[in-house]
Amino acid sequence: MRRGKGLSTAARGLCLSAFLLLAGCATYSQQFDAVESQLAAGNLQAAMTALEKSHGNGSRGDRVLYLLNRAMLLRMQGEYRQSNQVLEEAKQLIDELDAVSVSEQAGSLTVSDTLKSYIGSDFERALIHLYAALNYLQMGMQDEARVEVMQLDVLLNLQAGRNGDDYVEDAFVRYLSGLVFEELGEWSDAMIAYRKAYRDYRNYQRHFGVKPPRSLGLALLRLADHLGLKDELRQYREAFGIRQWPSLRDTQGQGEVVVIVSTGLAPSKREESSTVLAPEAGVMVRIALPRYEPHAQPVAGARLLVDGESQEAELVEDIDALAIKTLEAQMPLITARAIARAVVKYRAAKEVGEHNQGLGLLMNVAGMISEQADTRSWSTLPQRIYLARRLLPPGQHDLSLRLVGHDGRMLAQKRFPAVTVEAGRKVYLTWRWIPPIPHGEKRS
Amino acid sequence: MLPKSMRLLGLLVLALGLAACATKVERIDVEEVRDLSGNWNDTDSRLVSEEMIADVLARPWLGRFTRSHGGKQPVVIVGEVRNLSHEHINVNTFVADMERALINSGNVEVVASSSERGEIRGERKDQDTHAREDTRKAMGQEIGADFMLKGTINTIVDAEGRKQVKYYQVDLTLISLADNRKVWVGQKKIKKFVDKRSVRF
Repeated sequence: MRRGKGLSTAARGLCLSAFLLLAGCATYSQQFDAVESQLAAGNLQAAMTALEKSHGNGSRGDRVLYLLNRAMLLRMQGEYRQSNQVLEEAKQLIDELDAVSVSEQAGSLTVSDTLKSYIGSDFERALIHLYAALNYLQMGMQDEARVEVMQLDVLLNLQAGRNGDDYVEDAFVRYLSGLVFEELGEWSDAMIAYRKAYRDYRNYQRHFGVKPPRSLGLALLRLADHLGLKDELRQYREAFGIRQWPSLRDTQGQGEVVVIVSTGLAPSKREESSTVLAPEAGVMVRIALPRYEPHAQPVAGARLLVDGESQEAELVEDIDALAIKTLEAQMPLITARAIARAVVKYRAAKEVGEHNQGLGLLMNVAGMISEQADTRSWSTLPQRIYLARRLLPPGQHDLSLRLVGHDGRMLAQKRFPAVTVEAGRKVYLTWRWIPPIPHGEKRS
Repeated sequence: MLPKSMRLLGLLVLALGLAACATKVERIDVEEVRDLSGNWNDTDSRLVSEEMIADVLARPWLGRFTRSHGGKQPVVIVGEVRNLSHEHINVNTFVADMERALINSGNVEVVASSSERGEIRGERKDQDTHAREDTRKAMGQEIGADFMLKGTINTIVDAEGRKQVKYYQVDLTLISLADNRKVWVGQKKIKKFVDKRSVRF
């Protein structure tokens, strides 16, 4: 082997290709920006095309995320059946990939976390069932929505068992479970789901300041009354400060409109490099960690207008806060793995460098290039979800929704003319609004 | 140029790789049991229909009806079989088996269900306007059913980690349309233990 006479031609060639690779190395979330900007411009079809182009033929490890985003875009286009087919595919793939992969673990300890298959964080997996259920509900298939709710229950129990005390269960999915059970007349199951939703919302209040919605309080009172749970009834009356509420019998002759407004896009993960001291190796290493970057949040509130009466749509889900908290809980493990990985790379480069200086440099460079944070997340989820429930007499009603900004002015409006309401049935109306502000711009 | 042994090895690897690339289709017997994912599959549906069919024709309700109605055969209409389980199960597979067995037994008559007769009624109405006089089928001549077949599928799932115990219970009932009596209840219980692999390559 030649020594000290510079790099051989082969090594030079490798160096060049390495630098060329560096030029094309965007993180996953950066590649997703094209889709986001199309969504912000309101071009759903173009967003779908952009998604196909950038992620349609990705690796198997990224396929789950591609399917989830595709399902969400289909749902936004009103293709509920197709959206559910894609979600089923995603669920099956997640089930397969949930097993620990020997090769992926090896890859994540030596190259980068992006080699691991992405199967969604805990709250994302719960939201898969939420959106599947909503798709079914909007197609009028209550029993199928119930199946999703049952699957959700199994999943949430598994997650609770797996995580520790700081696990924050998704409250809104429990609330929707209660809605599904209530519509099917399964009062006990509805009560259990609403009770869990209440427990989860108090958790939310403690961590993110999202209060238990008043509509949940009314539901709890209604059902506790019907089931004869006097102690609980008193507890909820005090907690929510509600003196009077429509009883279950009052609601039987009427229908209900459930309006769900989803605004914005979920936060994207960005890469953040830092140089830390690796304790066992005693060297400074450079690691890249993921960090959630929320989008600008222009919505202050949402209002529902029905038959001349206006009511507030309450905030039931803050996905920004939920995502950030979930990542926070994972950070110690991610950081430890990143440091271990950097030490492995450093040691490998050093050993090679002792034999051949050029190759050692190359390994160092390759190590640095491959150090990418895992910036994968389900970005087409909304940023916030607002919910309003309204009992209405059977017949046709005109509804309209209004989104209000921080300055009190109206941001956007959506009309639902001639909505047919039937006695004893719920009508689910959803509106997805994405503000026309491209990602990257600072909050106003 | 690579030595001969290397070339042979390379060819062998290539041949093996190509063999694995082709899609393989293997026709299997309908009765064969192959459980892949642990979810509800065709074997479950077959077990349910076999048990239900054997049970429904052997119970006293059939004889009792025929005797009390002067030899007339009971007429059954299929109602809703609700899926109250954890999986999106297609109930039509075993319900269709039931219908077939009932008709083929020669002792029970089956009429079209509410989802099927919409089209039939539409066709009848069309015949009123377009078919020849002597071949027209009059409206209002449908046979009223004596019993409705309804049912539910329920599940109980016990899961921990990658292991699950799934319990399915399928209940089918025959309800008299005259007086709401339940004359027959068929039940089939299926229990599975699914151990999903926890390590993969």
